[in-house]
Amino acid sequence: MEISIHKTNHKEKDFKRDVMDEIQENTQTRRSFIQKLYSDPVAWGATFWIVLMIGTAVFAPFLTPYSPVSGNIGNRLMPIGTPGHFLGTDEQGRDMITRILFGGRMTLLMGIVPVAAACLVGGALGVIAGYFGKAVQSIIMRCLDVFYAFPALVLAIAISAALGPGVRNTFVSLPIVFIAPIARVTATAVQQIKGLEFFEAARVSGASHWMIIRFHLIRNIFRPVFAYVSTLIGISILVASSLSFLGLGVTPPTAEWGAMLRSLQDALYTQPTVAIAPGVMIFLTALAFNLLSDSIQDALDVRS
Amino acid sequence: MKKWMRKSLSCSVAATVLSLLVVGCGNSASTPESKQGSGGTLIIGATFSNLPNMDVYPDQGYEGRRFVGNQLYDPLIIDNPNTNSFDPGLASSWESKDMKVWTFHLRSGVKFQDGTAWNASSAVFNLDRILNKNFQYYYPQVAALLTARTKEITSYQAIDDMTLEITLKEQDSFFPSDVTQILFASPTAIQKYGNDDYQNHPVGTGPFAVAKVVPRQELDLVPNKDYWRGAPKLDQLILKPMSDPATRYAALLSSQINWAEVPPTETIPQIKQKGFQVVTKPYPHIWAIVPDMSKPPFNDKRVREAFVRAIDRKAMSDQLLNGASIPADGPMYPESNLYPKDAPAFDYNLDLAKQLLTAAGYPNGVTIAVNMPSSGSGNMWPLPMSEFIQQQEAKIGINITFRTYDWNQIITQYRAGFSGPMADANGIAYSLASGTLLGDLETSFVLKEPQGSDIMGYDNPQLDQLVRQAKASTDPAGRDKLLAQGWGIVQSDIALLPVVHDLNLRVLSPKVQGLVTPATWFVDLTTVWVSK
Amino acid sequence: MTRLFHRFLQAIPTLFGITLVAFALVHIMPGSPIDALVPPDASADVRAQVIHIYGLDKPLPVQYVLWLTHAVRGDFGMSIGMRVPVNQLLAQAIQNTLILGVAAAFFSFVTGTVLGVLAGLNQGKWIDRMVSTLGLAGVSIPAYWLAMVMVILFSIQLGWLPSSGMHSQGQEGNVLDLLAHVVIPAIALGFTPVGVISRMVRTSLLQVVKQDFVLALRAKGLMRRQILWHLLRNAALPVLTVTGLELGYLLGGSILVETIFAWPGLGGLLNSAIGLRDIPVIQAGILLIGTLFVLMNIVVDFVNSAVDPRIQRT
Repeated sequence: MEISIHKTNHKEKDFKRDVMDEIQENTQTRRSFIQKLYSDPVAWGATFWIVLMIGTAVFAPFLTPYSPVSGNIGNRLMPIGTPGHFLGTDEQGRDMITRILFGGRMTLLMGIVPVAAACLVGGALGVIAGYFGKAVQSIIMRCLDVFYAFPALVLAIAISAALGPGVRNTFVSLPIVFIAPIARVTATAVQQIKGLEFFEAARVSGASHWMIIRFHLIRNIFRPVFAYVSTLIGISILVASSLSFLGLGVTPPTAEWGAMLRSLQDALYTQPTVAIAPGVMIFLTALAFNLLSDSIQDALDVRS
Repeated sequence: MKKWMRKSLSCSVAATVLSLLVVGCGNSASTPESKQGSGGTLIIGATFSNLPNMDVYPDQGYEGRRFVGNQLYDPLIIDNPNTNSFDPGLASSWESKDMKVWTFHLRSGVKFQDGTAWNASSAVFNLDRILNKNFQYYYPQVAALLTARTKEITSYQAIDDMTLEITLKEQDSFFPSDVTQILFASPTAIQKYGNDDYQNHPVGTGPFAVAKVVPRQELDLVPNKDYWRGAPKLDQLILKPMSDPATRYAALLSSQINWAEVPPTETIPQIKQKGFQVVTKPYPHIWAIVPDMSKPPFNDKRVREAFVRAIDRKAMSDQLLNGASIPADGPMYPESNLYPKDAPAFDYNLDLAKQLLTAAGYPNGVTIAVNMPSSGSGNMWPLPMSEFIQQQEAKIGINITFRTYDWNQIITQYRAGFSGPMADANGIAYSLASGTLLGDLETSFVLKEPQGSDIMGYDNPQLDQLVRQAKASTDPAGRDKLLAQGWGIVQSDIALLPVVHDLNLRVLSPKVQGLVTPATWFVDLTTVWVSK
Repeated sequence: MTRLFHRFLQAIPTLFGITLVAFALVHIMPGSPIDALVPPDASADVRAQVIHIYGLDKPLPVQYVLWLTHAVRGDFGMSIGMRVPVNQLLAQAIQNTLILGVAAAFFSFVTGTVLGVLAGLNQGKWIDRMVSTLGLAGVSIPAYWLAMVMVILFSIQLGWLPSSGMHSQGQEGNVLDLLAHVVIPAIALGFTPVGVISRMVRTSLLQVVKQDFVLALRAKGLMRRQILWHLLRNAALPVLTVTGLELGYLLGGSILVETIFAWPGLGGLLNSAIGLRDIPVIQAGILLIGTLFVLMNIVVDFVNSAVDPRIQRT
């Protein structure tokens, strides 16, 4: 999860070429992007897992007869393979499968929502910074540099600690972490486009700023920014679950994979397989998002 | 089961005598083998998240007092909660004819670890430090923490070199219990280092002295060879802060420590099977939720009763905690002679709980916020316990939001009460381990801050009357009867929402020998040694 | 040199911003800092006295300036929780974190290089794919979870390695003992950057392979092993740079891993200080991490541009 921002540095260099591709072969690339993705078995596998997770999260209440929050204390810490509790039960006697299904809801939300929110804010800041010239850019970028000065996890922990535990505060602290890198990537992409002919033409033709941004800019920076943002979802899942694991994110009894790892910590030595199960889910889901993002980048040919 | 753990009569008698950390143990409690041998390094994985401060009032709650305060220092007299009596400490005897003027005859021949002599003037120096605002070494930080213990004192003086006299505002038969909480530091060391830095170089009369401090990691103590009660058997005592039960357990299994406080309960069978010694014993302790009775919903006794009845405390003790606690109906633990036998019990009964809640005007339930510690002194396993309570209360419609804080933070919040930083809370999960049973009823349920800790907003004139009577009593048996009655009132008023009494679970490596399982929170480490 | 100087100048506003963040965060935190300083039942005059000592009676901007002027001189005051100078705590903590960080960086460097070379030499084959998947697995695995799994396996089940702490009792100076303690946390922490490093090695390797001198070497009939050596030498600098950069990111991951292993480093210190609302420690800790991170970035940037002049243009 620490790598996120670092990746950017490499990405940035590729934007110029990427944007060029974008403009020159706009329609062609779009088709080949989807074709490439379509023919990539890894992308298929990852997508399958993500769709499965989203599906089970949405339909969780129909998939299990048990409650995710209350259990039978007499059945606590049953091993994996117990009849009726295939993945065993947790320290409160709750069915692990049920907890994992419901926990997936939280985990997916915390992977996608903060990134989407940061995308709106960071994207807007990036467009403004890149579009309105050097002075604006350096003001915005200098401010964002401050957030850049901390490893993502440290920043998330510090903000969460300041705001206090709870889901709502996690949805505040995580976007803040991602705003700065998204803004930087967006600004770089905008700058690359600004130098191009068609863009100059649009300006000379007297189109308003808003029109230019709306019709020429956003369309053309969408893909490189999207490629970068897709790398953040896996990271967001990891950071969010780390916060819950530290007791700074989701609070009991809400099921969430990181929070489950926290409360099962005491059972680590007596029912290790049950206790590490939520971690497997975090790993597989983050991996699926990262594989898919990798395939997207390959398909977009963003990678060096 | 190890031989030395059997609960023979002699053993429990000895344990009673010994409960006080400081009183020497007759060897009657030990088996023949355990008489022999000495030496070794005892490494304790304690529940605090950080090393306690080492001034005469350590932080981190009673865990700080148990493993630091009582190892470095001694009080004048020592509490014996099991018989509700006292044993001599730095005072070899004491008396008071009117319960107002108290005379303490100081133990002779005792020296602080730096060689300073223990006498009336060093005692007065220590009292000046916490009571005399004009004294050069007056230390408000420690004075504030001891306010509840020094509230009755009007004056004190050295009668002669070895006699200390303390005069109180009014008759107070509970005063000895206050005295047990005041520890004495070497005046020379305080003068040498100054008040602020003293706690980094503490010097007391206790069984152990500080050898090395590695902040956040460990505290190395060495035995005080000249200890007035006999030198401890250990070569070295090391304390490690480990706030997480699983970490303590793992450290024990990988031999990084040989004494683990409260490991995860689910490991108990495994621990026994691996040949470790599992030690439990009832002692004065209650894990409770302290309610704010000054505002809804806990201002209504029916809600409090509904709350208590909704928790299946037997299932909690037997299943969740694997027998490491006993269910509670009130704050006083059943083994005490102050236990109110006739007080009402509040058996687990969901239907009745629901009815009570409806009758109190909450047919659709109620949402409350409770602050709780993440670990620490006597708090047992706060995370699973609170989550269990949360589930149980949800069944009758009480929805609890638990908010977790570091133990030291919780102590601060508790002392500030519900008008302070936790004004938005309806309760605070808090463990009360008694070190001073005699005065507890008054401090916890009669006196408000800063004299006492009745933060609930609890008032019962009948109780106040009883306590006043007991306080002025000169007859211990009569006094205890009154107190037991008082504890009964508190229990039937549900002034605390009782959950369980802790059994002081700890696990020792098979090599740790000579421990006399105490029937108090505190523990005597002078008899312990570690075999090779 | 002027470029490096220029980069430092550029960093000054950032450093200034970091101090603002460090100061602001603790003042947003719930709970008054005063409650952490004095017992609430202390008398009003004691309270006022302590508030005054810590300067908490002054307006926030004044407090900030005071704190900043002290911080610039390296004076962060006393820890509230531990009553020792913050400097002393930080100095010890950063040293321990560096031990862990360097061990983790070493692990990821070696593993990443080996995997990267394997992937590069087998471009497009299944080994290449395995390595790239493994790299992604590294970024997807929760470090704290990996840590827990390894403790169960290597400390509890097999009993090979200690489960927590930095040294065994009485073994403070023993390097072997320290190594035994550092293995699990370093792997847990160092697993994340393995992917980035192996990818970097692979890319540099492939770039070098395309260059003429390799063809020339081949033409000379050098052994495969010798060619590999040349390749590695040419790919080494960028890889080292990335590893250096990762050291900064390890600083972030350490907060969880240190907490799990009771490793007495900066992450653990910060985490416990947050729990205790130990304001001077939190402020100084955040400031230190931010500053180190910024400086590390500058140095890496500089080394990068010194190694590869092309970078300066972008």
